[in-house]
Amino acid sequence: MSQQTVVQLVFGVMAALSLGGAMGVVMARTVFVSALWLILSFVGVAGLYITLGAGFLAVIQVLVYVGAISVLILFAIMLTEDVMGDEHPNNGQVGLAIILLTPLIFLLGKWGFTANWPVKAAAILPRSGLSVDAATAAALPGALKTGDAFLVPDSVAYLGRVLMTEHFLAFEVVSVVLLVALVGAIVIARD
Amino acid sequence: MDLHSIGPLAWLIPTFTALAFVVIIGMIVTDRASKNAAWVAVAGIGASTLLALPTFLAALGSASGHGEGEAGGLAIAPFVKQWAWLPMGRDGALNLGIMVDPLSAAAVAMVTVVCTAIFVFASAYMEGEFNNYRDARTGLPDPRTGRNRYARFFAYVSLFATGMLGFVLSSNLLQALLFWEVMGLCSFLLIGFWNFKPSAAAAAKKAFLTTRVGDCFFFLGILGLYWVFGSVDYADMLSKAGIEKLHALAPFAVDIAGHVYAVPVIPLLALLVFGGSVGKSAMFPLHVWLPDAMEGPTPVSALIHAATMVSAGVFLVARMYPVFSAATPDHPGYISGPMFVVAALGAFTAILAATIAVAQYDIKRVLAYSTVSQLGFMVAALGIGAYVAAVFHLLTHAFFKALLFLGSGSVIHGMEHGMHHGQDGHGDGHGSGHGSGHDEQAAPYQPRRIGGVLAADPMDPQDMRNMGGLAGKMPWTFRTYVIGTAALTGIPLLAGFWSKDEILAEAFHKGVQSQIAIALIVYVLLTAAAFFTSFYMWRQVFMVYAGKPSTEMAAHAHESSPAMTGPLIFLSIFAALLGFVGVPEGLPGIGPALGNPFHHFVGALTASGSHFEALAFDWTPMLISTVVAFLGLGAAWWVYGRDPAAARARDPLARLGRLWALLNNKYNLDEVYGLVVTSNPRIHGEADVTEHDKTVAERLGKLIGLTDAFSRLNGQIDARLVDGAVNLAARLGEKFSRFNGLLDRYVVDGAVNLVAFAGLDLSRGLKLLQTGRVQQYALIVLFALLFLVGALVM
Amino acid sequence: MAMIPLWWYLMVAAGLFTIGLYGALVRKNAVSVLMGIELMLNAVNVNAVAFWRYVSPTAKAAAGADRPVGDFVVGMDGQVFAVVVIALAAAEAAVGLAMVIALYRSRRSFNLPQMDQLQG
Repeated sequence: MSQQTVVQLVFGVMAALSLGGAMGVVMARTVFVSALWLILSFVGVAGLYITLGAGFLAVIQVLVYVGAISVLILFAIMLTEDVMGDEHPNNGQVGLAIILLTPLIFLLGKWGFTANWPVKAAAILPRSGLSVDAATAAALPGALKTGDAFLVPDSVAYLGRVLMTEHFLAFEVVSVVLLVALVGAIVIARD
Repeated sequence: MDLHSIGPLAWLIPTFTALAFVVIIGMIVTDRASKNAAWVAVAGIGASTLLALPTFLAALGSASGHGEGEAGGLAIAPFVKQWAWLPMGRDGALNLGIMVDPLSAAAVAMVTVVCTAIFVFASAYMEGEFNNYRDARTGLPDPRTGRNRYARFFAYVSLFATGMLGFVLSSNLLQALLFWEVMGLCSFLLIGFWNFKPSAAAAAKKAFLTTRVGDCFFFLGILGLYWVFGSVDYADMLSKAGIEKLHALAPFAVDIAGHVYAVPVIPLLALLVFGGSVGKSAMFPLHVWLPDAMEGPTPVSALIHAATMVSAGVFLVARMYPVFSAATPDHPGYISGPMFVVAALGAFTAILAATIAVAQYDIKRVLAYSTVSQLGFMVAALGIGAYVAAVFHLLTHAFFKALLFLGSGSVIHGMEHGMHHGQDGHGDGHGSGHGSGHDEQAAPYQPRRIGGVLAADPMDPQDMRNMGGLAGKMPWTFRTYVIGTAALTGIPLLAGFWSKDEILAEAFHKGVQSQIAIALIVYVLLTAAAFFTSFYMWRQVFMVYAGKPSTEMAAHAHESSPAMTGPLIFLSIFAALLGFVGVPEGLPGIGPALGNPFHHFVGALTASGSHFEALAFDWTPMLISTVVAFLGLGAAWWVYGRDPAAARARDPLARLGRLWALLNNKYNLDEVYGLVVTSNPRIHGEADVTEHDKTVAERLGKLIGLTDAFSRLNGQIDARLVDGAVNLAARLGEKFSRFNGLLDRYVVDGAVNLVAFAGLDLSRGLKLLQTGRVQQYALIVLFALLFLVGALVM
Repeated sequence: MAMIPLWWYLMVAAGLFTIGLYGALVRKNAVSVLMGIELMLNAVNVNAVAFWRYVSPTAKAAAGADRPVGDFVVGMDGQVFAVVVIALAAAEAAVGLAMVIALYRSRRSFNLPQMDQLQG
C-alpha cells in the first residue's frame, strides 16, 4: 500500500466516524445516546485534524470537546433526570427541514467541489524544509522568492507565538468571554 | 493647551466612567455597596469632565488658530487616534479609536458637564432607594437589597455615560454602533429600574424593542457604507475623497423580473442610517418609547432626555451630514432627497409632540413630549441644512432639559415628602417606589375617565392636578424651573431663544427668501410648535407652582436638599447664559462684540471642507419667534394663570371635548400600534394598565373617534358661521354641512374603518408567523437565506 | 501531488454542518439542539483548518533570530480561528447548559415547542 492510500484510508475512517456520529446524534431516540454519538463524532473530527497536520488542534479537540463539553452535556442530562426517551423526539418540522436542507447541502457541495480554490502546491506539503515553487512565489509577490526554504512550523510553539502577537486582541477577548461565561453560567444555574 | 498633547488622552474620557462602573459592580459583588457608590460615580464622571474640558478648549484653540474662514482646520483634519481591532486581510482593519473634531469636542464637553450635574442630583434623589427599600412582595424593609439597588443605579448611569462618551468620541461607525447599543442596554436597565412596577418593566421593554427597530436600519446602513467605502472610519467616509467617491457612485441596478430599476445608493444608505436616529431620537413613528421612558427614576429621564441617548440620534445625523447632503450634486439651496425626508419627519414630529404635550397632566410626561418636539426641531434643522443651528440647539437643549427634568424630580421628591407627611407625619424619604409605596396606605385608586380623560389619582405625586402653590414651598426649584422654562420657550436672551431662533431664522431664510418649499413648511410647522411649546411649558409652571396647593401632599411639600438644588442652580446658569456663545454676529449691539464663536467653531464640516456661512442677520424671524413665545406665555396665563386652582380642578381646555381627549390620549397612537403592529397589549408601556383588557371593538371605536373629533370641530365652526349668516346662506350652509356630515359618516369614517380592519386582518395573518418557537424562526431564516442565495446564483 | 484533495474535507464539513443544522431545527429537546449547534461549530472548524492547510492565506517572514533570512512560514490564521471557535463553543456550552438547567428547574421539561413565551 502506498503512503497515499494509507492517508486516504485514514481520512475515510475519520470522515465516516464524524459523519456517522453526527447522524447518530440526530437520530437517537434518547438524549443520552445522542450524547454518546456526539463523542464519537468529535473523535472523528480530531482525526481529521491529524490528517491535516494540525496535531495540536486534534489534542485540544479531544480535551475540550470530548473531555469537557461532552461530559458537561452528559452531566446536564443526568442532573435533570431527563434521560428517558421520548416517543417523538422531533418536532413537527422534520419534512420541512429536509426539504430546505437538501438544497443547502447541494449548494455547499457544489461550491466546495467546483470552486477554483487557489490551492498552493507548497502549502500542502506535509513537511517543512522544501523550497517555495514558482507558482507560490508568483502568488505572493515580494514576500517569497522561488527557492526560499518553506517552513510549516512546529504548530504549538508557533501558534502560541501568533496568539501572543498578531492575534493578541482575539486572544484577550476570548479570555474575557470565557470569564463572563463562567460567571454567567454559575449565576444562571444557581438556585 | 495643544490638542496634540492632550488629544491622545481623550480615550480616557469614557474610560473613567467605565472604571466607575466596574468599581461599583465590584462593590456590589463583594457586598460592600454603600452610599460611596454615588461618589464613585461622581468621581468617575468628574474625572471625565476634568479631561473633557481641556480637550474641548484645546480643540477650540486649534480650530480658531487658523483665523476666519480657516475655522475648519480641525474639522478638515480632525484629531484621530486609532488602534487596529480586527485585521481584515488585505482590506485594512476594523479600528477602535477616538476622533476629536469640533462636533465631538463640543458634544463631549456638554455630556460630561450635564452628566456631572445629574449624577450629583441623583446621589440625593436615590437616597429613598437606599434608606427605605421595601420588598415588593412582602412589604418588609430590606436594607441590603436597597443598598445594592442604590449602587446598581450608579453603576448603570456610569455605564450609560460611558456609552454616550464613547459614541461621541468614536472614530468609526462600527465603534459608534457598539456604544450606541451600550446606551440601548442601559436605557433598558434604567427605565425598568423599578422593575417591581409592571408599567416600568413594560416601558423598559418597549424602549428596548422600539429603538431596536431603528438600530436594525442603522446596522444595515453601516453595512452598506462599508460596502461602498471598504471602511467604516469617519476619516475615510467624511473626507473630501470620500464624498467624491459618493458622488461618483452609480445607482445600484436592481433586476426585478426583467425590469431594471436604478436604486440610488447614497440616499438609501443615508436613510438607513437615519433609521437609527429615528429610533434613538424618538422621531415619529418610533417616538412612542420616549414618553414611557419616564417610568425610570427622574435622574434617568434627565439623562436619557437631555445628555445621552436621544442626543445620540441627532448627533449621528450631524456626524453623517456630509453623506446626507452629498446625495445630490452641489446646488445652492437644493435640499437632497434624504434631507427632505429628514426635514419633513422632524417638523412633523415637532408639531405632533408639541400638541400632545398640551393635554398631558403628568409633570414628566409633558417634559417628555417636549423633548420629542425639540428633537423634531433639531432634526428638521439638519434636514434644511441648518447644521450649526441644529448642533447649537442640541447643546443648549441638553442643559435646560436636564434642568427641567431635575426640577421636576425635585418637585416629585417634595410631593412625596408631603405625601408621607400627610400620611403618617414623618418625612423620611420617598420610599422604595412610586408604585408600591402608597397603595398599602390608602384605598386603591380606581382609574376612571371623565370625558375620555383619565381622572387624577389623588395619591399620584407626578400629576400636576395634585400640585399647586409650590413656588413658596420650593423657592429654589421654582426659580431654576422658571429659568429653564423661559430658556426652553425662547424668552429673549436665554439659551433656548438664541438656538431656537437660529433654527427658525435659517428656515425662514430658506423658505421665504430662497423659496424652498420644504423649508417654508418647516418654518410654519416649527413656529406653530414653538407657540405650543411656550403654551404647554407655562401651563405647566402655572399648574405646578401657582395658586394655592390643591392637595395635602402639595401643602406639605418642602424644598429638597442642597445636593439637589445645587445642580439645578448650576444648570440654570448654563440655561441662562449658554446662548451667548451663538448670538448672530449681525445683531446690533452685542452681536459683533461676542462674535458668534460657536458658529466659527462648529460651522465647518469635515466633508468637503465646506463651510457653513452664517446668515445675514434678519430681524423678522427673531421678532416673530419672540412674539410667538410671549403669545404662548400670555395664552397660558389667560387659561391657567388667572385661577390656577380652578384650572387644576377642571382643565379649561377640556371644553374642547373629544379633541382634548384625543390629544390627552396621544392621538391614540399607542392603540393604533397595539392594534396593527403588536396585537399585544402587554408590550404597551401604558401607565393605566387597567386598559389592557379593552376589547378590540373599543380600540376601533377610539380610532374612529379620531375622525369624529375633527368632524365635530368642523361642525362647530359650521354652526357659528351659520348663526351669523342670512337665511339663504344658512340654508345652503345647512345643506352643505349635512352633506359634509354624510361625507364624514360614509366616506371618511368608512375609509378609516377600512384601514383599521385591513390592518387588523393583515396583522392576524402576520401573527401566525409569530409563534414564539425559536426553531420555527430558525427555519424561516434558513428559508430566507436559501432564497437570497438562490436569487444570487440564478 | 495532493494526497487528499481539498474538496473531500469540504464535503465532510458540509455534511457535518447540514446534519447539525437538521438537529438544531427538528429536535424537541433543548440539549439535543445544543448538540446540533456543536456539530455545526465543528464543521466550521474543519473548514477553517482545511483552508489553512491548502489555501494558506499569507506567508510571512519567520519571526525570531533563530531563523535564517529567507525562510518563510505559513500564516496560522486558520488554526487561530479554530482555537477561538473551540473556546467560544466551550463558553456557549457552559452557558447554554446552565440555562437548560435553570429552565428545567422552573418547568420540569426541556421541551422546546412548549417554550413559546416569545409569542407574547
